[in-house]
Amino acid sequence: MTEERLDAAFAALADPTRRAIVSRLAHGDATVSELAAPFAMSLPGISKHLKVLERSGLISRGRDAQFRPCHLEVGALDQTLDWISTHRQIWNQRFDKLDAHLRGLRAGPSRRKGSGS
Amino acid sequence: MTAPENELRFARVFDAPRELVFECMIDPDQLAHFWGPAGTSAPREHISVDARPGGVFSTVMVNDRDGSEYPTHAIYDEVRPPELLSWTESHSGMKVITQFVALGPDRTEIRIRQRYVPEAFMSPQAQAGFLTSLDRLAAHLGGLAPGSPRTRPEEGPSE
Repeated sequence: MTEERLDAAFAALADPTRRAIVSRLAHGDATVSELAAPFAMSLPGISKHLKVLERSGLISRGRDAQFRPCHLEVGALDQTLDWISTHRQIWNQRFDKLDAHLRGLRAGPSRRKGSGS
Repeated sequence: MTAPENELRFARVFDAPRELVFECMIDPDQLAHFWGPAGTSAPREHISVDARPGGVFSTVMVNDRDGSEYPTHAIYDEVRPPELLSWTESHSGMKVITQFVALGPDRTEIRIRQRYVPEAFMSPQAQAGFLTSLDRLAAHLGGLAPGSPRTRPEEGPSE
C-alpha cells in the first residue's frame, strides 16, 4: 500500500503534462476546465492525469462544489523534491572529496594501496 | 528501467582500482577524508565501521561553521568486497546500496541506489531523528554553492 503510493508519486512526476499541471496548481487552486485550457487536450484526457496525481497524494480535489477544484498538496511535493535534491547534493559533494582523496592517495607514498588485513 | 520509481540513483567514475575505492568506503581513516559533504567534516573519532552483515556503520557530520552535529547510524545488510555494500539507516529506515563496478584496472564506478522514505511514513522516533539531523544538514547545504554536476542520475548500463 505504502509502496504503491510512493511509486505513484514518483511516476506521477515523470510525465511532462502532469508536471505542468502541478506547476499551474502551485499558483492556486483550479478547476478541470481551467487546467485543460493551456493544453490541446480533452477534459477526459486531463481528468485521467488528475486521477493519477490524486492517487499519488500530490493533489486533492474539493468534494462539495460541482467544479471540484484541484488543490496542490504542497507538503507532499516539497517533501519529495527536498529529499531528492538534498541527497543528490550530499553524494555529489562526498564524491568530489573522495575523488580528491583518491588522487592524493595515489600521488603520494603508496601506503594504502593494499586491501588491508 | 526496471528499478522502483521511488529509488534514487547516483553514479560517479573514479580513477582508482576497485579494491582501493571499496576500502575507502569501509575504512574509518579514509572515510574521515570525504564522508562529510562540503562545509562539514566527519571526524575520525566519531566514525565506527563494523563491515559485516548486522554490523554498525555510524558517523557524525560536523558543521565547519558552528560545530552542529548530524549523526547517522546504520546497520550493514550486505558486505561483499570489493563489489557491494548495503546498509539501512536506523533513523530513517532508508536503504542504501553501493555497487563498485570495475571499468578497468584503474577505473571504478560507484553506483548508489537509495530508497526514498518520506517522513510521513516514518515512525515518530525516526521522524525526530530525521528532522534533527538530515533536515538541519539540508538547511546548511542549501546555503552553499550547488555541488558539481558530475554526479549524474543513472540512466542505465550505458554511459
